[in-house]
Amino acid sequence: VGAPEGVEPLISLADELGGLGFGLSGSSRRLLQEQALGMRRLLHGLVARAGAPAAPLLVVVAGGTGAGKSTTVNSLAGTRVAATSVVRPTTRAPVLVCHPEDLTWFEDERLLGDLPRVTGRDDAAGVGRRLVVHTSAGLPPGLALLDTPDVDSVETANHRLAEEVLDVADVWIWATTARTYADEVGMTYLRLARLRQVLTAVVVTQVRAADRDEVLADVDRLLGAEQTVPDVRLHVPFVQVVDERVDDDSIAPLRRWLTELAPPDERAAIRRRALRGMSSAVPIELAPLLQAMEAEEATAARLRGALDQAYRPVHEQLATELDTGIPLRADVLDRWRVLVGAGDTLARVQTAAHRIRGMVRDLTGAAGDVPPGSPRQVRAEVADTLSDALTRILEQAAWHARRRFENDPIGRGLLDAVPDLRGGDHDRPHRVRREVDAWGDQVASMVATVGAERKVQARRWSTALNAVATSAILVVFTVSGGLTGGEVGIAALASAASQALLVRMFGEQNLRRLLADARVHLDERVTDLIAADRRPYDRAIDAAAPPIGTVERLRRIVGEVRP
Amino acid sequence: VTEPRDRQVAAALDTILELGPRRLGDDAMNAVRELHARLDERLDRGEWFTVVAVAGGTGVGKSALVNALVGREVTAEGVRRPTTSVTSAALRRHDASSTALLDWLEIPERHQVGDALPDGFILLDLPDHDSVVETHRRTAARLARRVDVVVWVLDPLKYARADAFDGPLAPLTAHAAVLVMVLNRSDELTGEQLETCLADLRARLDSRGHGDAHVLVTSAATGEGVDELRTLLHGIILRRDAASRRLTADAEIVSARLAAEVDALPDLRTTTEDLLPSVLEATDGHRAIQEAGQRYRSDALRGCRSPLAGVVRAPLSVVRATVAGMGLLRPPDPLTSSGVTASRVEVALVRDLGVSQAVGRSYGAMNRSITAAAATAAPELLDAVATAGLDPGRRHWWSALATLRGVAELSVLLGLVWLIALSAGDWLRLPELTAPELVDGLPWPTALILVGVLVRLALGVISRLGAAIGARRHARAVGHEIRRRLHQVVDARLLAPVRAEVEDHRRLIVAVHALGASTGADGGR
Repeated sequence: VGAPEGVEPLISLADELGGLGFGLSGSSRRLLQEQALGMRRLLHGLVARAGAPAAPLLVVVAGGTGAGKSTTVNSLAGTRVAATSVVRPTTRAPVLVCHPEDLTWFEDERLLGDLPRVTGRDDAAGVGRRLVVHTSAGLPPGLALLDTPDVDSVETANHRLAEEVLDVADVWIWATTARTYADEVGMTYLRLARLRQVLTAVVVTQVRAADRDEVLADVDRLLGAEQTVPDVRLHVPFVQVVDERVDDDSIAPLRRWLTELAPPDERAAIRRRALRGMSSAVPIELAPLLQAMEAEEATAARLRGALDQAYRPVHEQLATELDTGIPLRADVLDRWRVLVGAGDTLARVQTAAHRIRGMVRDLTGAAGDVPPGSPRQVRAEVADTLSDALTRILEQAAWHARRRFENDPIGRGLLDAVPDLRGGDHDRPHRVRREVDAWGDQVASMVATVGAERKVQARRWSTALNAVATSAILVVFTVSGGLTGGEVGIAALASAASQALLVRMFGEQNLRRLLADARVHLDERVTDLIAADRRPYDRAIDAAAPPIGTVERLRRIVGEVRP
Repeated sequence: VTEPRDRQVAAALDTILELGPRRLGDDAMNAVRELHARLDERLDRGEWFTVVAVAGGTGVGKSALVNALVGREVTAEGVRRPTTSVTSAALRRHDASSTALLDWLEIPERHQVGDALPDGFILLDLPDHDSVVETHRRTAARLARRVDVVVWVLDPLKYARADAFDGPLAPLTAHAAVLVMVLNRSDELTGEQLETCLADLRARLDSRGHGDAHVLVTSAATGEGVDELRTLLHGIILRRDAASRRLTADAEIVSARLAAEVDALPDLRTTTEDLLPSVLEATDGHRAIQEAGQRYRSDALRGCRSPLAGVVRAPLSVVRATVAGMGLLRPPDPLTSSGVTASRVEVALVRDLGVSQAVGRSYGAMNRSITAAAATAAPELLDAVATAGLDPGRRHWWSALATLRGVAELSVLLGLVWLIALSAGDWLRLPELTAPELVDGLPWPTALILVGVLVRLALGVISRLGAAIGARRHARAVGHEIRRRLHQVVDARLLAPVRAEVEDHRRLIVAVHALGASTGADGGR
C-alpha cells in the first residue's frame, strides 16, 4: 500500500518529534516529553490508518470514571467482555471487541503497536500494559469497539493509556453521566475531539426518566455553550444492569448509529475526514511544543550568556595583572637586571662571582635560597607566576559561572542532571601550565626566527638565545600598552634592561612586532583555556537544548501539513 | 494572635520574610507571603467562629448534605450541572464579627438559620471544584484555602478521579484535625459494595497523605451518617481553635516545602589564622617582608658609613638623582593593585572557606557577601601591608659604627698625610724630621695607617654582619606586624560579614523548622 497523499510531512514531523528531550524546560520536562511522544503516536496512528482505508473503524468508548463505558461496550457486544465494578478504576487495560471476520486486522500490531495482545478472557487484573482482544458476532463487521480506562483516573498510567487509545481512534463514543456531564475534565476531551474533527457521539448514561428532559436539555445547552456539539448526542436511561449489560432497547439508538458507520464507503469517508481534521489540528496541538522549544532556545541563550558574563573578565583581569607587573621575587629580578644589563664579559664575571658567593654561602650555611638568575630559572619563575594567576582567574570565573547556574532554576536543574559540573576542575592547573609553557616555547621560537632573519652574530646568539627569549617574555609581562603607542614605556625596572637587550639585538621595529605577536599568542591561548574551562557547561547546554534548527524545521513541516 | 503556637508561627514567618528573599525561590517566598497575610487576616477576625466548607465535585450532593446538616433547605439542589453557582453561607445569626469574616471570605449569600446551627458555626456550600465553569473552580480553590474546616465530599462515582485528589485537597496533607472526608450517596451501593469502596478510598487517601483524616459515610437522601457528621463538626466548633489549627497545618506544609528548598548550613570552621597564609600571599605580604629586610640592610649599610665616606660619595648621588629625575631609573610601580588583590582574596576565601561546593540558592547571599567583602577589604589589606613599618628608622649602633669608622679612616688619613709630609720634607731636603715611634721600629704614622686599615676592615665586616642580622630581625618584626594588621582586617572585613551571613542562614533554618514544629501537647486532632 503506497503512502497516501499528504502524509509525508506527518511522517517527517513524527521523526523530528522523536529526538526531543526538553532538558531545559525544568519541571515541565516530563509533561512536554509526554506531549511530544503523544503527538508522535498520534501522527503514526494517522499515517497507519491513512494507509489502510479498508480496515475496520476503531470506535473508542471513553469517558470519566464510572461513566458506564464497560457497560456500554458489553451491551453493544451483546456479551460480557469488559469487567464492571464499584471499585474504581475498573478497566485498567483497554478491551477491544470486533466481529470475528475482522480479527486479523487487530492481531497484527499495526495499531497500538506497543501494546501486547491478549486474546480472550483477561485474568491478570491490572498488571502491565496490554490490549485485550475479544470477538463477538453481535457487532457488525467493519467496526471494532474499544473500551478504555478512565480518562480522569487517579492512576496516571490509566489515563495515559486512555489518551493513547483516543489518539488512534476513528470514532469517539464519549460516555458521561447525568451527574458528571458538567465536569471540566470531560469537557477538555470533547474540546480536543472538536479540534481534531473526530466523529463523536456523546452518550449520557444513567438518565432517570423523571429528569430526562431537563438534564438532556442542559447537556445540549452546555455542549452548545462550550462549542463542542458532537455529531450525535444520545442517552441511555437509568435501568437495571443485568450481567453487566443494559437491555437491548436502551442501547438500540447507539447500536443503530454505529451500524450506519460500518459500510466500506462510510468508513473510507470517515477516515478521510479524520485525516483532514487531524492535519488541521496538528499546527494547533504542536504550538505549545514549539513554544516550549523556543523558550528552551531562549533559556540556552540565557545560560550561555551567564557563562559569557562569568568568563568575560578573564582577559581583562589578566591584562591588568600583567600590566601592573608580575610579582617576581625581587632578588630574581635584581639578578636578571644585572645579567642582561651588562655586556657579555661582565655578565660572565658577575655570574662567576655570583656562583662563588653562592658557594661561600653554602659553606657558611648562611644560604637560605640562592637567588636564581639564570634565564631558565627566570623563565620558570615567570611561568609559575603566570600559571598561578591564570589558574586563579579562571577558578574565580568558574565559581561565578557556577553561582549563576545555581541561581537559575533551569541552570540548577542542569547541574543536578550532570553531576560532573559540580565536581570541580582538578585538571585546570595542569592545563594552564601546559599552555603557559607552550607559549614560552612559542615566544622562544619566534625570537629564534626573528634573530635568524636579522643574522644576529652566531657566537653571541648561541650563548644568549635563552636570555633573549626570556627577556621577550619578561617584557611582554611588564610592558603596558605604551609600547604600541610608540613610546617605549616601561613598567618595571627589570624589563628596562631586558628591553634594552632586545632593542640591541632586533631593532625597535622588530621588537615591537615580536612583543605584540607574543601578546596576541598569549591572548589566543587564554581564549582556548576559557573554552576548555567552560566546555563541560557548554556541552551540557548543547545536549539539553533542542538541536540547532529544529524549531525552524518543525515550523516548515507544519506549514507543509495541509488538510 | 493569642495561642503560643500561633505566635511561634507568626514569629517564624517574620524571620523567613526578612531572611528568605535572598535565599529562597520566588515561589516558596510567595507561599510564605500568602500564609503570612492569611494568618494575620484570619486571626484578626477572631476564633469564635469556625468556617466549615462543604466542598467536592459536581453532582456529589454537597448542597443536599448542607441542607441535611442544617435541617432545612438553604441552598438549591438540582439535576442540572453545575447547580450551585453562588457560594452561600448558613449561620445562626449575623453580628459584626461574622459579617467581617464573611466579607473577608467574599461570600455574597448569607442565610440566618437560627437554632438549626450552633453558635459560631458558619457552614459554606462551595461551588464544584471540577466544574466546567472556570469561576466556580477558582472560587472553590480560593475558599478551600481560606476556610477553617473542609468537609470533602466524594461519591461512589467520583472517589477515584484524579481531580478529586489533585485539586484543592492536595495541599491538605497535615490537616487531619480540620479535614473530614465524606463518602456521600452511600445509598447507591449495597453493604458489601460499600465496604469494598470504602477500603479502596482509604487506601487512596493513605497514599496521598490524607490517611489521618476522618472518613465518614453519609447519604443525604436517607439521612445516614448525617448525625454523625454533625456531631463531629460540633465537636470541632466547640474547641474554637479550628482557625488556628488550620493555619498551623498550613504552616507545617509550607515549612516542609521550605525545608526542601533551603540548603544545609555551610560548615564554617575556618578561622582567621587559617586564612592568613592565603591573604599574605594575595597581598604579596612575603615580598613586603623581604623588601623590608633589604631596605633595612641598605639603610643600615648607609647609616654605618662615616661622614667622610659621605663627602666622597656626594658627587655620585648627585648623578644618581639627576638620572632618576630624567625618569630613566623609575622605581617599579606598586606591583599589586587593589583589583588584583580583590580577585586573589576572593579566590583564597572560596578555597579556604571550602564554600566552592556550597553555591546553592540559599548560599547566594553568602557568596555575594564574599565577593563584596573581598572587594572592600582589598584596599585595607594592601594598606595594612604597605604601612606595616617598611621604614626601619635609624639605629644608634649605626652612628656609633659610623663614628668609629670615621675615626679609623681619619687615622689612616692622618698617617698618610704625616708620611707624605715626612716624604715631602725629605724630598725638599729639609732638616730630617723624625716621626716618633710608638714602639721600637714602628713609627706613629705607619702605626696609624696599619691600625686604621685593620680597624676599618673589621668595622666593615661588623657593619655588614650587623646589617644582615638586623635585616633578618627587622623582617621578622615587620612580618609579625603585617600579620597582626592583616589579622585584624581579615577578621573584621572578611570573616565577619561571612559569619553574619552564616548566622542569618542558621536563623532561617531555625525559623523554617519552628514554622513546621508540630502542635505537640494537644495532639493531632
